[in-house]
Amino acid sequence: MKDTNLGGFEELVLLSIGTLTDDAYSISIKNALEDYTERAPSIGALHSALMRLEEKGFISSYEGGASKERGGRRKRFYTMSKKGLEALIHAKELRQQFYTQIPVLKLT
Amino acid sequence: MEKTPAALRVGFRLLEWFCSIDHLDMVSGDLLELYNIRVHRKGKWSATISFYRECLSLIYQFLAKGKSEYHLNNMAMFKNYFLIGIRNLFKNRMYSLINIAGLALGIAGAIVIYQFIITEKTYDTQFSDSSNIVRITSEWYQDNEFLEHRAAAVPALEQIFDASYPEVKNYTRYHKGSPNVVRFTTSNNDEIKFEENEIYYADPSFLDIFDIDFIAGNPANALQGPNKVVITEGIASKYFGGANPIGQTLKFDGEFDFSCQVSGVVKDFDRNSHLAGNMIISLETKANLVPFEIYENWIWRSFYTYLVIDPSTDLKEFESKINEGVHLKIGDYYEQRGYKVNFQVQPLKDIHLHSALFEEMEVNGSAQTIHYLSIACLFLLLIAAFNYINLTTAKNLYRAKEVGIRKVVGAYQINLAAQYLIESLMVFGIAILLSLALIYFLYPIVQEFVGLDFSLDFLSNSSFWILLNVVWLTGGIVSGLYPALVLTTMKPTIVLKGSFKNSTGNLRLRKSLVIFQVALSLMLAISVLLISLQIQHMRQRDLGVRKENVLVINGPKVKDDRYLAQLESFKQQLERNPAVEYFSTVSSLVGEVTGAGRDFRNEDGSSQFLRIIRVEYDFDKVMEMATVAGHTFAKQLPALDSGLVLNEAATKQMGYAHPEDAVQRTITWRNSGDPIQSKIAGIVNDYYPSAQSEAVPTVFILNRTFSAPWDPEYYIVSLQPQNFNSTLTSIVEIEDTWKNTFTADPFNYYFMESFYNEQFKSEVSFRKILGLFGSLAILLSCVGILALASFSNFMRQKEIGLRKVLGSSEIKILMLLLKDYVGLVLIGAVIVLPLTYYVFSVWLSNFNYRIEMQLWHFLLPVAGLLLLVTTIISIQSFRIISINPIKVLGSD
Repeated sequence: MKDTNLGGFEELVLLSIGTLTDDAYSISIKNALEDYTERAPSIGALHSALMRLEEKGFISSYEGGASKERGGRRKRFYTMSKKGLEALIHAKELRQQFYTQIPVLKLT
Repeated sequence: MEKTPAALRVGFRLLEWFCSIDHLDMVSGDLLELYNIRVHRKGKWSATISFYRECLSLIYQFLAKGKSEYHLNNMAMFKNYFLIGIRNLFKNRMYSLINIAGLALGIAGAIVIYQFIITEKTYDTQFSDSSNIVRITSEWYQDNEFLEHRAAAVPALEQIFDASYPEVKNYTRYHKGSPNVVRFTTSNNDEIKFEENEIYYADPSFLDIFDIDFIAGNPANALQGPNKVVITEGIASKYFGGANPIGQTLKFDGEFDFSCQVSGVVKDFDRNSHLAGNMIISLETKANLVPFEIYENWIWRSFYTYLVIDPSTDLKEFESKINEGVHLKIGDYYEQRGYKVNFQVQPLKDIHLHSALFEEMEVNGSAQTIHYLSIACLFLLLIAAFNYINLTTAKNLYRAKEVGIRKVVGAYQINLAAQYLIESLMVFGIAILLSLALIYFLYPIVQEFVGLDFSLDFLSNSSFWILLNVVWLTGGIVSGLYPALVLTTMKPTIVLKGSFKNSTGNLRLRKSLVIFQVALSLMLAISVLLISLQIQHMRQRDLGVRKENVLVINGPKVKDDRYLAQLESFKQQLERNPAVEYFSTVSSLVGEVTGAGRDFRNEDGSSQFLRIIRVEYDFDKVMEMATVAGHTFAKQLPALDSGLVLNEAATKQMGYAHPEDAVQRTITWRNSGDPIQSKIAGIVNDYYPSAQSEAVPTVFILNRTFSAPWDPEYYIVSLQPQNFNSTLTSIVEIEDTWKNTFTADPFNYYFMESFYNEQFKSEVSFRKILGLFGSLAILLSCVGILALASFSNFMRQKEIGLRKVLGSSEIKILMLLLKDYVGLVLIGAVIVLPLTYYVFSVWLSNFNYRIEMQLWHFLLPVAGLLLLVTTIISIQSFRIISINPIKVLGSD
């Protein structure tokens, strides 16, 4: 699983981790995605994306404290790694290259 | 810590079981937090539902993931069971293949029979009122002698259902019309015409009671008023193609000439309904056409009558209430005419499987067949499951050491049993999937071969899937249980020392399973043989008339005053054709017992009700009947004076001891008007109109003198025996002649023999399906025996080696090995033969004309199976016997 390709949904997850900085854990990421895309991913799908991202080394995680609304269970917080940032930039550049090739967009 | 809400506990428990410990804490925290948020936003219910949905999705995502070496849950062990199971399957490829393929074949066969049974059992359940609909049938007696029990009743019966019958909710009559030529003239004056045999007349309430799906038109008034017809989709496309049929006019030529406006198009009738028909004309149309008052008629007994009754009605009481009601209404109307009529009530759902009355709408199924097939289905599953048990116990003995080791490192018996159960569930699961695939790809062949109505509809039926799962679980668990128990109760110390070989108890069970398989296979084989013989017997019954090489053409429906001239011209043209022997017409073919009959009065005043058949000159020559006394219709006489021809049974019925006595006697009878006095011209020999009937007293009358236009008429042509191709050429020539003569009628032909054979349809399909599954059962049993032999031979390798060393010949060893299996087959035969004999004496008692069971019917299949088994074992043993003893004995 040393694939470093960044999937569409993974990219969105990675972006929201970037924006949430210190408070990026599963529920807040889910909320952020919901706010921006108006589509709620299921928690299962989100976790599986997070696991893939972590396996690829784009994010790292640490366990936070327990809280009451979680029935005393701990959260896992995620932060973007350097490699993750590179992947994001790479993805953006890749897209930019394509955008410049679209004639309709060129004219404007 | 906050308490977990009670509604969520099951979900958390599931997570604990299935999620990796690495993620468990975090994931369940997430779920709880989300739940709390949702409770606020959307309420408790919606939150709980979302919780479980996400729970399942999480389990799916995290099922096997996780890096930790330490597992809190059972996941890993389950994974291990599967892994070991798969490895085992691959390790013994040959065994696995036989095992799975055998099971799959067995299950596929069982599914095919199952779908057949289900189709038969769900007949007439598709109507919304199905369970409240009843049919009224009528039992007729004449002069206190039983005449017939008809599926239909009389049209006037409706009159009795007034306010004193609150239990009757609805009422309809359904009446079969005679065949018609139906014509449609298109806008550019093309004429489209076909002969239609499935024309029915019905009350408007028919569409209400049998809620047949309408495609176009309004069911509420489609049959309201005269000259309206509702047609099926099939008919609509036949006459109108893509155009809109509603409001178009169809012309009917047959017993009456009339036309109808199409007022509705319905879906083709469901195949699993006893109702027939593709054109339903409003009954009022018929009422206006016939020269008498239909609704007042208490004698015309061909109106199928259906009622919707209150579900709480007691049928027996209701039946006597109807008969009393009839008596109240018409007094002794029937008795005055020498009849006694008993109306009976029959639930709609019982019609297909439990009713075989006179003039049923179609040949019904038989509950008995379904019975036998259910048993065959169960047998097949049993044989397949026994194969599995046999093979698995045999194979798993090699795994004794594995069990020993597992026990030593701490496995409980329950864990080991789980291992075997899971393996057997796996094998059953694979086999079921394979059988579904088999059915999916092979069903066209099955359809072709068995000639069954077989569709894949049942795949969308949820009860099928539930049943399949039940079969999977019970099959898997029950057949996994025995090997599991045998293996897991072994003591590790003994097993690991290597002294575990084979317990006698174990072998005894496997042998008895084989005996059982052999017995079942034999039973099926004998059944197929006996049924085939019975069918053959009925087919070849010497009927007393000729049915071979007789071409039948449906007589013309469009008749006017030129008809007789047309008939003569057709006849003359045919007689010029060298392939044609004789030509005539009849109103009833060999293979059907029609109901038309008349009262015939003797010179002494006594009268008898006798069946009549309308014929033309030469009918006796076409059918090769012998004239016993007098002569048949003579062409040189004026048609009116040609008299009547009786058969021997009719002569006896009329009270003449010898046929000669009857010749030239006068008989008084009535065709449709005034009494007619006719002389008996001659007597012909008796014949059996169907395979099961006795000779029926019959009077033959000359069609051209006494026919009504609606009487059925078949043209019969006897052909010279010739090869297939020239027969075809002759038919084409006859068709040309037909088209030149009867321009308005289509040419529909078949052979008398195939018409006769139609009556065995249900027996033939029973034999085919039983034959297919009998051969499957035998195949599976042979596979089972083969596997057992190869295993036990393998176990006996050393013994065989020693015997050879000590000087035994190879033949002797082969005999030794064979002895066991021959014994098994014989024991199986002894068990099953009396049972089969009993079952078939019951089955054969359904037939009046039947075969006698003989010893060879039973011994032949036994001998066949013995031969098969000996061959298989010999081939299998040959390899083991021919091994050089040094190879097997060397290691000790």
